[in-house]
Amino acid sequence: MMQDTPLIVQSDKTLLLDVHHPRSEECRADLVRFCELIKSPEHMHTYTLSAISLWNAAASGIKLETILDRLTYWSKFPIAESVYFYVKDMASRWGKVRLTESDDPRYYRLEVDSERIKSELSQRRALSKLLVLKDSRTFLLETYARGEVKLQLIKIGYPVDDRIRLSAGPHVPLALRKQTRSGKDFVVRPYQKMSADALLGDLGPGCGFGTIVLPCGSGKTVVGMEIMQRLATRTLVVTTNVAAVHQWMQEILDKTDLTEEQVGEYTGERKDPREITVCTYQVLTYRPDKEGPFPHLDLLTKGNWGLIIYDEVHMLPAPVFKITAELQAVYRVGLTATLVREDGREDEVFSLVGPKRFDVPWNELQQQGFIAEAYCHEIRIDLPKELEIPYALGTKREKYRMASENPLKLEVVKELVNRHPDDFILIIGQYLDQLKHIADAFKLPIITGSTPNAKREELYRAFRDGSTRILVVSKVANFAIDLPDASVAIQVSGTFGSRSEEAQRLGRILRPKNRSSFFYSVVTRYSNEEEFAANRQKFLAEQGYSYEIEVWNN
Amino acid sequence: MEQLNEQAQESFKTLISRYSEDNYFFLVRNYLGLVSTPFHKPQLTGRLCTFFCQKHIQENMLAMLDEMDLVILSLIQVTGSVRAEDVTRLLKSRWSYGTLLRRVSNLQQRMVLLNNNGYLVCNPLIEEQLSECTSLTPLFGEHAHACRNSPYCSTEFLRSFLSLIRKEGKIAFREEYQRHFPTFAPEPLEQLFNALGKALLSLCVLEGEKHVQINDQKASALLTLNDRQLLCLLLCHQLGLENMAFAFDLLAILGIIGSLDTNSLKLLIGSLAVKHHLESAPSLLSELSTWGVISLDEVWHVSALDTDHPHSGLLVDSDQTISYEGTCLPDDMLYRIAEIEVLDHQKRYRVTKESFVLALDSGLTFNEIEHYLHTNSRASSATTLLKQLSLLHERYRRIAIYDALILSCDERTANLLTNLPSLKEHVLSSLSPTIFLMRRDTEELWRQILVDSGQLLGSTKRHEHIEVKRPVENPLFTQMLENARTCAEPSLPPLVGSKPSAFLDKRLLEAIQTAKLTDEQRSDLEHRYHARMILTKEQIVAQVLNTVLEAGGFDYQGKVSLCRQASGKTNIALELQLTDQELVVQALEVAYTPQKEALLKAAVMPTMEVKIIPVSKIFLVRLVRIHLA
Repeated sequence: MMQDTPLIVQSDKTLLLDVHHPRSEECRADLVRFCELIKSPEHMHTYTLSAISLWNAAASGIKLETILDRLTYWSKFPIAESVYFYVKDMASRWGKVRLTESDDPRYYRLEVDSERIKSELSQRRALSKLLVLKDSRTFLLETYARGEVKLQLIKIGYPVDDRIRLSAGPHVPLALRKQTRSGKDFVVRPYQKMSADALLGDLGPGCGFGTIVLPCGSGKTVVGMEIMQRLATRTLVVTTNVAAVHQWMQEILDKTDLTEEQVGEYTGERKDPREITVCTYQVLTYRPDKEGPFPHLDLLTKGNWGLIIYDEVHMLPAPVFKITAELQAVYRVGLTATLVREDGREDEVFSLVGPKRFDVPWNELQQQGFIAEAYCHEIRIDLPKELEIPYALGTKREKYRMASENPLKLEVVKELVNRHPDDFILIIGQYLDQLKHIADAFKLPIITGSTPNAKREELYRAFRDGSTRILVVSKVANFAIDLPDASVAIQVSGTFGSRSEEAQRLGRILRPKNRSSFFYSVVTRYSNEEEFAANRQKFLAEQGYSYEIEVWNN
Repeated sequence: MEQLNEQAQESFKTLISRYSEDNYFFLVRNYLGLVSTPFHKPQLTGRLCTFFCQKHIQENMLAMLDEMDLVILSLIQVTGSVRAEDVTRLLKSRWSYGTLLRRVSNLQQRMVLLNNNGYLVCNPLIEEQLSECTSLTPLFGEHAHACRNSPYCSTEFLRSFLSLIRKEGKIAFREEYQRHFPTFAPEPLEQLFNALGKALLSLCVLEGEKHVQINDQKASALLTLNDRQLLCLLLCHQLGLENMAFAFDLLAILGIIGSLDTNSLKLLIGSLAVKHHLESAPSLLSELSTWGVISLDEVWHVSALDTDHPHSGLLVDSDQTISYEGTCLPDDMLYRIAEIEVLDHQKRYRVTKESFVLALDSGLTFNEIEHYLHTNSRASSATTLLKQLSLLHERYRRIAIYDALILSCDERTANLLTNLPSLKEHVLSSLSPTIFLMRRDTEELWRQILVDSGQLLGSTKRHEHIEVKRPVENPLFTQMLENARTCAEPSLPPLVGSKPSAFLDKRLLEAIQTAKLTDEQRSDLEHRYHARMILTKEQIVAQVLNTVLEAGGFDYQGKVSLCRQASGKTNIALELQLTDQELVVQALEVAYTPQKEALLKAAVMPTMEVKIIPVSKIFLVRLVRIHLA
């Protein structure tokens, strides 16, 4: 029997939402409480019933009966028994393993519900070495092992009901301004507030940590500041590069009542920790030699932080992973637009920083005008004749490089720049020689990894204030750089098939403005660059962006 | 209706007049009373017919039906005309052989069933009413429930299977296929995959050993079937049956019952084997389970065959997936141009470079693909995809690789090759006015045509011998396909019928008890009353029909006499109660030992094993009229 509802519940526990159905928004509002958004292309959005999403739902007090009732109500077709079973099984696991404080401040107590779980935990080597059996249903663990134990338990399918309150950290009062220092009206958008609500909950056990996924340009920094305001505590923000550090600091000073004395920077250039400190992942993971210790990781562990914000959390490097596992008593939030890692370690981000608490389809924010409407084009050009034979003889890597650095791309860039005489344009690429060549040919400023930070700041500023209209940038500008007026991005080359890079680059032009944005990806036709380009576009395609293909006639 | 009645009466008269005199008069005397001499047999038959045409008589007959009667009658509704042995064999798990034999005989004496040359048929005068009483529940439906939405080998499954085979070139199951078919449990999926691969290879829908290819013509033909037809074809192919009506009936009844236990399933298969004159009932449980028609969960649950779920139209999303709900039209080509991602309520395919190239290689043109996507997708959702495909197609067209023979000739031969239709079809391409690429697989043919047209041909200059693969054919394929398409929907009893009342009119018994009769006549009538052969007071007349004779205990002579009476008569059986068992036998002869002890030589039914039984060992002998013919 078929109902006229917008949802199809598949047997593999994915939920397909027909976004054109008149009741799709109503349905979505129910789904986000216990499902995870996987992709949101133009017509059919995919959610999934994952263990984590069900545990999160259980943790936030949603009853199993409510989940089953909502699924049944919205599903167009009868739901498979296996799905019911999975939901019941997963939801029932919540609360069977509880983490509480013990009399001894050096230890936590891990209580289990049954003998069977106890023996299962005792038999797992990875767990047994961290746990000491106290009595028939209770283990003790050292406080530093809290994150690792939770990680291992999630791996074997037992979510931990963590009833230990996060430590508040030293009080740092701060408030968001209604008018920014630069004089503009400022208000936190509804979805930004909802993100903070979703993360902090009632500030009780199980709340206060997690990941927030929002599109590029939608104001994740503001979400971070909203959380800072609510917790009013000593905060560390970790971000991707020095320019982003400065951007965070500027934003904080611009939109909060904090003073310059309260906001400090901890980077390779300057180490000045204050009540609110912004640092880079690089400085935390820096070490003078490969075998030696990480001298700056202490900032993370011994800084007495009440809140840690991991900006672009999908970039979290491995050593920070490890330390994050030990920082379970601290309020923490991961911010990202693209929770995809080419190394497939998204799950670890979830278990260490915290599960995804909020996600919103890109096209929804686009429709509401919170991010710019963007049109993506893939422009295909031929390889010059003289490169055809070398290309045919090259290795896969050489082929990709030859195709990426195709000299004919220069002509395309020229034409595209002419097409947009009034736009602010970023020309983004992977290979420095190619970028330098473009910069030289058009006499344009260029920012690469070797550009000193001061120079970078100067060029970014010039771009922001309009004195420079076109900027050539390498991958250093992929993340966390806010260039509000940029409306055109021309990608001349990229890091192979990186999906997040493509999305982040598009993100550079998504700040809402009074014009549409255009993203051009210039690709060599009939080369392996085409295949890598197709892979790069996957994430955006899943967010509802489609690429118009143009074939360039040389 | 009147015509139908006349036909039924004629049929009744014909069947009755074929009965032996003994049986005929037994029935006539029971229902019409005393028969005085001289008589006119056709007139008697006419009177008997008129007797049974009376509405109140028919109502009485029907009112007396009990549960066992309905089981037997329902079985006959399923099987059609059937031998008594088949009834006793099929229902042996429910009642003993003797009980069944007596009841079948009783139904004939009650004229509910008639004998047609050894086969039991319903009395044509009450056939319609009987069919209203019968149903599937008493036979198979103890556990009946609605069919389950379980996965099975549907045409949609076949499409996705073919899509996978086209991509992989192999039929061996791999674990990662599980993600494409989330509705299936791993083990049944593997079984289905292997069985389907094997069947399609055997039907030549798949060809090749190391690299399996799809014969698209045959695959398309197969996909014109609906789910039920496809399952019938696969079942029959597996069983080596050409007659698909058996499988059609089976699936139709299973679809009505929904779920049943193993015994009922075996009974159903056995009944249909009888109906369709199969030599033996095939052991179909594992086959039905392999194709997903049934699945075991305490009892067997039948999958709901989803034949009329409408197609929703293709939804081409921005992530290049193509999805739809429902069932494709027979000529749908999506499985040829895209790779399956998920087969569930929503079926999702993805067009990849490889799948698109394979589609073009298999003979589809870009125009066909373009037209298909344009006309079947919702709104303009396919525009971006089509743009990408057109670019791929342009690349595809740039190079063509032929497996061909090069024919270099003079202008005259070239003229023939260009203009002679019979030769032209063997030319793959013309490289220059006098150089042609010729088909390798038809080399013998075009050589012959050239020779016939007066050319002198040398041997082909080859470096090595290349064996040309000839297309393999399974002659059964076309026939089975046609049978599957043309099989008519069977007419079947409903799942639930009316409840039996097994009503006995006590007024008749009172009438017997108060009638002016001898003890023997009264006893005979009472016996016939309890055997439900007395339908009206007019039958209560002073006569003895000896419907049952029995002797037991110390009546040694009585027992011997009954044994002798039954000897050699095929329509009479003896029920024997021995000290430790009961037997139903056909008496062959009675012999004596030198000590004058009587020995019964008898064939034990139903195996007809011959035994010699001393009459002294028999506690009770009962004579039963088994065949009324």
